[in-house]
Amino acid sequence: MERPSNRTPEGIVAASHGRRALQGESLSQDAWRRLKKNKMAMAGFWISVVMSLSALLADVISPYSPEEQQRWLGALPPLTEVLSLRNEMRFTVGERPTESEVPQACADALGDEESHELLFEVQDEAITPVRLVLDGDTVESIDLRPPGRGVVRPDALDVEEQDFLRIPDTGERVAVARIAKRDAAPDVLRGGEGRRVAVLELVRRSPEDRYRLTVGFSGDGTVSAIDRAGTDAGPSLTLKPGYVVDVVLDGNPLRHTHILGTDQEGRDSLSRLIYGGRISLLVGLTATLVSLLVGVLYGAFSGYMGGRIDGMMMRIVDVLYAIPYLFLVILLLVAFGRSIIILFVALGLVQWLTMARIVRGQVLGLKEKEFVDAAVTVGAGWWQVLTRHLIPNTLGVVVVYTTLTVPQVILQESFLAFIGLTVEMDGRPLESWGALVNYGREALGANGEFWWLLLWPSIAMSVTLFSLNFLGDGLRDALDPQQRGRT
Amino acid sequence: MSATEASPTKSGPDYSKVVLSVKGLKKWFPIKKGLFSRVVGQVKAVDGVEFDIHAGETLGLVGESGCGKTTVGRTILRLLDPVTAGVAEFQGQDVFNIQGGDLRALRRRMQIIFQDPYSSLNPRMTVESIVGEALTVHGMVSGRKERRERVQELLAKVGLDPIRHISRYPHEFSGGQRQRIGIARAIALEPELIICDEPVSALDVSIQAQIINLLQKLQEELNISYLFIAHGLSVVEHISHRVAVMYLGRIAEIADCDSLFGNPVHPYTRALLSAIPNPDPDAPLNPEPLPGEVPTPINPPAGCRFHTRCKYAEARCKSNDIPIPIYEIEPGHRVACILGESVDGATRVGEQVHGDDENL
Ligand SMILES: Nc1ncnc2c1ncn2[C@@H]1O[C@H](COP(=O)(O)OP(=O)(O)OP(=O)(O)O)[C@@H](O)[C@H]1O
Ligand SMILES: [Mg+2]
Repeated sequence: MERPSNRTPEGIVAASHGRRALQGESLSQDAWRRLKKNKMAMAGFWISVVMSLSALLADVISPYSPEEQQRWLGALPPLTEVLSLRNEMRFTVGERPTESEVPQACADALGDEESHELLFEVQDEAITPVRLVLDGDTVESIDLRPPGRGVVRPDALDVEEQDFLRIPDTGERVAVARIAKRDAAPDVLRGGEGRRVAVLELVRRSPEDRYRLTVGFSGDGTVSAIDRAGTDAGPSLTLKPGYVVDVVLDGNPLRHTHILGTDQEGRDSLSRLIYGGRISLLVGLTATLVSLLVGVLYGAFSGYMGGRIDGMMMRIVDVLYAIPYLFLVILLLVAFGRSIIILFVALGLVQWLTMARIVRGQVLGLKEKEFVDAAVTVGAGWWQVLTRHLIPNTLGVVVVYTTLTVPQVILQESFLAFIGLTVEMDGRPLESWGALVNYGREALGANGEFWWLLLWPSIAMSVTLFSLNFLGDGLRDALDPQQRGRT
Repeated sequence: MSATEASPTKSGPDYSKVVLSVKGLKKWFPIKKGLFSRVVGQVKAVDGVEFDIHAGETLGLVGESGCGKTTVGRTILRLLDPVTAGVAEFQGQDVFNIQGGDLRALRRRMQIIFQDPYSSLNPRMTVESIVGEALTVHGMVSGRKERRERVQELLAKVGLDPIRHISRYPHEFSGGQRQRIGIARAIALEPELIICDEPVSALDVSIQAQIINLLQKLQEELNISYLFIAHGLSVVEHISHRVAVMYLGRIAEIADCDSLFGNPVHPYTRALLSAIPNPDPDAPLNPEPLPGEVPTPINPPAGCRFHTRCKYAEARCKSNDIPIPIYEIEPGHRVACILGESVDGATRVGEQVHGDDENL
């Protein structure tokens, strides 16, 4: 045996200095340093951050309300520039229009102590009721009732380019070039049984019927005069956006662009995407948090106790595993209503099982480590051992699994939304990405002419799922103790 | 190289004061099988162990791997509840029959230093929390500032840098430094007894000496007793006042250092001594290499546990019917072997009993 040398403790300390930086580097700092070297994981990380931020700040960054319908627009492809209008514009001389009655740019300009002039170019429409008699999906006869001309029964009805067919109740436009006897009915009218009647409106516009409407505003924002084609139009005016072909405020055309287009109700696709992301991420995160809380505690406790208690607790998990959980979630949603809370609980309750198993496995290994014995010897109670020594050491795995659970839950919620089980809050449907994909699929059209309605939510969802998975994989590598310290 | 040359820094133990007294200690691990965890056998890791540790004393506990040294230490620390049989008294207080607050109070007085400096420190805690945890648990400090100061004192005591090292994490230290952290944790509660479970076997030879010196320095300053567990006699020779040699769950020979190294009686002790690389060519001992493997503690040999590897074994050593006699060679030097009868002045003071296994 080597005899003890006379080296002093001070000498040892001095020799050990300079081995590392002065400040301690915890395992998480080390992991973060290595994560930063993984390009895919970092891309995933930043995309996840951006997605989360956009979900968080949806109210600020989304250009429109996701529910605001501009039906007169219909489904517009991406980057379409449209007139800035409101659903219904009402002007009364001497009154100030509310913000919901004038386009945003106009509302912003009013009341700045200057007078303004809002100019509408209006094209009136000739509306002819069209009566289609259908037998199944086939057109049997066509009735036209042009004003003052009785009933006309043509064999075919041609719809010119600037004309369109409209469903009177909803204002929905029916895209069709020609309807002929014995042909198939337009898409929207299909699916009925037997003989029945459908009423539509043929909307015709002619360039000759155009006129100008001018609304003047005084400095305090009230309407000072309404003028129709050069003559006084009386004290008040109600204008529907469908007839307006141009709108100009003080010489500047009021237009805006729907970057990602609009859907068939004229809702802005970008805004719906942002809000849909909020729902998807919220569901993903909340359900994951539930699973995190329940799973980690349950698994850690079970593993630490060991023996019979562990055996019983794990049998319970096995039994719950055996239940077809998606079926369970669907049952819960159907039985207790489609509340988002139910969805959180239902998804969280099934997700924790795997987490509990993972954490238990970790704890089984960890509790054999001597630092646990050291803690017990020092007098720490079981709760302290569990929360200070065991659970913190499972964190690496827990973080990784959490990152991988979020996309899983998002996908599951989307699946539910896709099969029509959209959740609601306060009676309003909460449309997640899954719901948007479902909508897009339904609205796609025979030739995919409304492709953008399906494309955007699909991209958003895939990118997010990929990002979270890459991040999870990167974290797993970064937190792998075998790789520790490697650059 | 003998124990008489032991370093003069050894402060004298107080033999009138027993800190820990262990009698008839048994710890068996049941072997379970099948769906209903039927017990199909027992690992007799510790099977009747007796010793005393006095105030300020270091008792070396030596034996081959698997002979139950660690199990002895952990059983005494109540880390392996329940004990199979036996009593341990810590300054007159029963160790095995207390719970709750009493147990916590006792834990404050008995600590442990582990063999593996890597798994014995929680990688997620800073040095401050590792060493300070004990202080918080026992309410020995009020507030963070006081705790920090106390931890800094402790770090200085074990030769670490109180300022630089306190907020670091275990993975930033070398093995020897980690072991110092473990020592700081053990002395934080000012215990009277520390069980050192092979505290240097995982370390470099050069570092081993530093750690042993540190332990001795702390013993002098704080008057701590050690149960110092080691593989071979060479490690304990320098630090121990008395040494117990353990074989397959039992004590073969126990004596003070000089007596054991100078006058070993048990063939197992002699074999262990011959394993020490001896620089002295005129060494009095014949090398007695140990044949064979350690038998399994699940089915230990009948009679004397060592007889399967002992060249002096007689028929009476191999039967469970005849107890193995325990002889006192000199005051405090006891050996459980028939060879004891041929030593001058030896008196028979007891025997190792076998065969009560089925009762447990
Ligand atoms: N928890 C346990 N369950 C079952 N058997 C055990 C357990 N702990 C120890 N043993 C067995 O008890 C015997 C003694 O083990 P112990 O760890 O006390 O030996 P040791 O003398 O410390 O050995 P080493 O020098 O290798 O540390 C071994 O055969 C071991 O396999
Ligand atoms: Mg051991």
